[in-house]
Amino acid sequence: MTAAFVAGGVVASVSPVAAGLCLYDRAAVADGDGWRLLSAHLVHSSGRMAAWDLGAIALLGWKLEHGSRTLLVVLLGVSALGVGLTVHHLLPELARFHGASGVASALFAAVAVDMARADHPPRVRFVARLALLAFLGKTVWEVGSERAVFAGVEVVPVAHLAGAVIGLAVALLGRARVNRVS
Amino acid sequence: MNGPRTGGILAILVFATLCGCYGTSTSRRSTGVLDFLYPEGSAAAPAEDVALTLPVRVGMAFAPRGTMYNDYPEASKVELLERIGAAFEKKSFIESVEILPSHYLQETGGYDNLDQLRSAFGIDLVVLLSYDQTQLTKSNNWSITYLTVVGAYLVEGDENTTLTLLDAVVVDIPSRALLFRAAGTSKIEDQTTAAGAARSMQETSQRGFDDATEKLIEQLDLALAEFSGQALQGTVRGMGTPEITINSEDGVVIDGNYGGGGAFGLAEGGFVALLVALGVLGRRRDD
Repeated sequence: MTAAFVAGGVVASVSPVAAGLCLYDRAAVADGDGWRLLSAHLVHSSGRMAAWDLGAIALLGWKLEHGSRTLLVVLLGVSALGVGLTVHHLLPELARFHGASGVASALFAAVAVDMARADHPPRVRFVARLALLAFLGKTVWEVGSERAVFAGVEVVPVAHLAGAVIGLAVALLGRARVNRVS
Repeated sequence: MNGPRTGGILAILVFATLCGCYGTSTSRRSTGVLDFLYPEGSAAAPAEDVALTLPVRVGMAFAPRGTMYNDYPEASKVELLERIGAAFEKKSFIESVEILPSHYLQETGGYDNLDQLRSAFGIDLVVLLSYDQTQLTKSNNWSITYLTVVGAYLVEGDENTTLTLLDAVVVDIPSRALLFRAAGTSKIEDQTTAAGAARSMQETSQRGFDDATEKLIEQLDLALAEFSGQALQGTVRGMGTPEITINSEDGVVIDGNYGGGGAFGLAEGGFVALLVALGVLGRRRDD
């Protein structure tokens, strides 16, 4: 599943036609191209941006897929849609959006929740919780501060925050469900 | 009358008739965009960087014909332009589509002519269409029945092939940059009687343009998507081509070299590396 997402990301980033058909364009979504809320996460405007985003997804997705493929599939779908809807509704001035870091943020939060489980050593649990808190704190701070540019792209911190919150929620709900069943 | 002499005359008549039956004819009509944009003697200056402000106002016109070919009727051209225009004017990034009749363009008008149209109609971009339609007619074996008068009305002894190409280029007038292009083609084969040949040619000509127009609209949509994806990287058609910036009405840069994205950076990469390292270390400890 992770490999499929990364492969899709490579194709959408390398092919201008695929990029044009996939990237989030507010005008196109208004014209009826709703799929762009999901597909925008596959598009990257530079090799550097693709390397960072898809590289993070490859590592985090691989980790999650070993534990539960179902959780990974749900995370990818819900976070892609959730981040897309968040950008669409909360940032009306944003005409175009692309990049997978919102989804990567969701996977990061889910991996951190997974590593904070009781069956991990105390030190691992502590560092995982700290890393998650630091990540959330950083994104909250970025939302409130000046926009940053990285890899030639004006970063949208709201996408990171939305992804992280969605990832946290899905991972905690998933864990609660597993605990109930067991 | 002398028997052999009569036979000889008859043979010549039959032979002449057969030659008339087994014939081919070709009719062609075309226009060209390059002849209009770069008339003879004009230097091709390199295009400048493109700055588009959305929504754009688009003009559409057929390139004026540069040769004495059989021309496509002006009313039909306008109808065709309106069909293509209707397919795109609903897009949110297009403010309006202006149909420009061919006589607004001078045969050797070039970019100066486009500047005049830009001032007169307030358009930002122009879509220039050109076409090439060839109609071939040849007789098949049944055409021998044309020797009988009735055969010419009842037997389909003529085979027609209509090949149509409709090409559209989208030009940014201020920068002289060709943004993208697309083409629609059509091939129609038909059989007809000798008596119905002229009407059949007319009908297949119109059908050829109609079919090519439908394909052109599909290809324009794809070309627009490709242009949109290419513009994400800040150039019109890749390295070495003019840079492009797309702005909103308020002057906010929508696209160009940046355009709003979810991008992980060094800090995020560090967080990911930390978790992955924790995972690896935790697994080693379990082992």
